[in-house]
Amino acid sequence: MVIVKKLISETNEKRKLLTKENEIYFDKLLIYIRSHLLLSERQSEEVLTEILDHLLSAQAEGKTASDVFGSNPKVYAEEIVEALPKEKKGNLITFGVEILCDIIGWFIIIGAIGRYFTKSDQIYLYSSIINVVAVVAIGSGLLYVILKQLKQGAFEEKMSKRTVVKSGVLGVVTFGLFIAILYLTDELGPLVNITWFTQLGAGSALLLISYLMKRDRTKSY
Amino acid sequence: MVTIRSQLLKGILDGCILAVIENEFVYGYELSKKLQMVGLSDVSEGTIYPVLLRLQKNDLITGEMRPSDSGPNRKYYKLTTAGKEALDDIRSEWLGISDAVGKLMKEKG
Repeated sequence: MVIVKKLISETNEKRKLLTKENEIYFDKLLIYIRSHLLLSERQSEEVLTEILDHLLSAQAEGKTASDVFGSNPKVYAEEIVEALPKEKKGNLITFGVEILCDIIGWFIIIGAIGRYFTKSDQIYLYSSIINVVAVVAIGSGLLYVILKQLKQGAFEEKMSKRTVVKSGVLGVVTFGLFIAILYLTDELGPLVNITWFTQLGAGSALLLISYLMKRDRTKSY
Repeated sequence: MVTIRSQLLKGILDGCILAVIENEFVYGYELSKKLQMVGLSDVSEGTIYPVLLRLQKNDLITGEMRPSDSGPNRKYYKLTTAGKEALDDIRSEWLGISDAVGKLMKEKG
């Protein structure tokens, strides 16, 4: 068994051997297929490797990607995605927990560093919980929107003006929303004594868990 | 453009691919060459990959990615027991149909 990590890095290297025209075509397939996170990663990367190798051989015979896969990359990519199996539920859950630990870990660490400067040794319990939930909710929301945009945008020649404006507005609104939540829930719930150092430790522990989970997840890959 | 030929082929392509895989371990590029060699040159080369994925999903074939003799990783396919059974079914159905259709088509010609 070849490990998935190796397939990914080889695909990323090998696509540089494509002609400009073929690379544009292949990249559309690649972005569209990889942005489907719920599909089996191994199967996705294996079929991308097969498609790329096939295209490289065809290219050597003077054929283009359109000759091999049809003139419409979108139709072809959808056929592939439809035929790909879903990722196993267990893998998805572990992956989700890993990402969650990562996001929350960094958030707690950044908060801890902030408190080192403000010299406060107490936090508001409810405020803190609400903030963590807000970070996770906004983070997942953004991830969803970005993946959706990748799927839609994969076949556009150029990012449309509308998309640029939409992304900008979304960025500002999200940031504003987060600041508003922080501000509105500033002093809720009982005060709890936690030094900035303990908080730093808690955040680091979460990052460590996330790191170990990732190592374990990609070990058999 | 959808030609009559490609429409006719659509239904039997799974069977053709299973038949090639039954004979030997092949990888995608090789498979498409074999199909072309026997005369199915108008099967667009890329069409085989969605079919291969579907056949794997239905447990009719398995694919294993491993390094090839010449270097790059290749995914070699082989039939499962269920795949062998499915091919046998397709084969006998096809022979029946082609026999019957052959008779009809000949009458006029």
